[in-house]
Amino acid sequence: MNARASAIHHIDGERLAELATARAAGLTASERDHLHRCQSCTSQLADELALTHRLRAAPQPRAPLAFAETTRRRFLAARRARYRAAFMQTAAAVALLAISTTTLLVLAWPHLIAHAGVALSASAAIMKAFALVAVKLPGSAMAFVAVQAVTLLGTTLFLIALVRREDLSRAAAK
Amino acid sequence: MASTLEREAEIVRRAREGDVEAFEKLVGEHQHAVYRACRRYVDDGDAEDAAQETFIRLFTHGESLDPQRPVLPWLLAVARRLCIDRLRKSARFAEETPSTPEPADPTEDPERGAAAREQLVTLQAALGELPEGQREAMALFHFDELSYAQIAEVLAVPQGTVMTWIHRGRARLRQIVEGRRERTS
Repeated sequence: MNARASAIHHIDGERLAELATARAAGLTASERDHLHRCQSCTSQLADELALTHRLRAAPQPRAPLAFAETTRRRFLAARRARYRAAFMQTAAAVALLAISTTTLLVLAWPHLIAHAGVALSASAAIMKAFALVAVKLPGSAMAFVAVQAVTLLGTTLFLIALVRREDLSRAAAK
Repeated sequence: MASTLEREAEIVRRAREGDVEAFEKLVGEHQHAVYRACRRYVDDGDAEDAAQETFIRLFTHGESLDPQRPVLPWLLAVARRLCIDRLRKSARFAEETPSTPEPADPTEDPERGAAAREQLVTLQAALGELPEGQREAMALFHFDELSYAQIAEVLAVPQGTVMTWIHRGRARLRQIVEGRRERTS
């Protein structure tokens, strides 16, 4: 009987290991049938099961008792650092906004008194959005400065464009 | 009713936003698995520190975490990277012998306890003799009960490689254990 069974297809070793770890789907009908007839596969499966059992029974190191408490303290420290960084970023953003807006207003006062409000609003909206993001996802200080620089540049270009348009309108009127 | 994965995703989201209670829950759930993973690479003190750092990384660098997937493979992958970095920094990587789990306390029956203990010591020593990939895959599969796909994610190798490592690891383990038995008998 076993000779005949071995002449047929034995169950693959990898599959037997899978069956022994109960990670694969259960036995198929043909596998069950084969195991009834093949002593070799049955014994191999028994070996695999014994190995799985021994592995599962092996004691594993456990985290020390104070682990959770120490981790909690470190978490609180990291959270404080995040909030501090977010506060500093927001404060710096507000300071930069004030400086950039004042500079632009001083430079463009004669032409842009009518448009200053628009520029200020746009700049403030961008800064507010950035401050909100900064609180959620604190990035590096360099990233913050880069975004602020881009905002400042954008506002400047916007104002220059307004001046240019105004000059062109005057020229056309003349 | 929310699935386990959804519940876990919610806890992770809250922990990442700074919720202490959610963070504690996460630590309570996974501390032993993460610590165990670290112990496979480094000694007691370093393992504890690396495991704690792993949880803090979830808070500070959790952007890469996919909320649709379980958090444990991500934690184990981070723990593994942190431990490897430590080993590299301390320049011990080449000489470091793999750490094996500590043996169990003897059971109540001294005779049975001694036999069980001997078996476990043999098994643990045999695990320590496996190549790194096989050992790690075997541990993640049998002790942490991760799937092939999750192990592939942790070890950053294809799933087929994981399956081969586990299969070869089991075969090699049997050989080593049987070899030891024959030598002692």
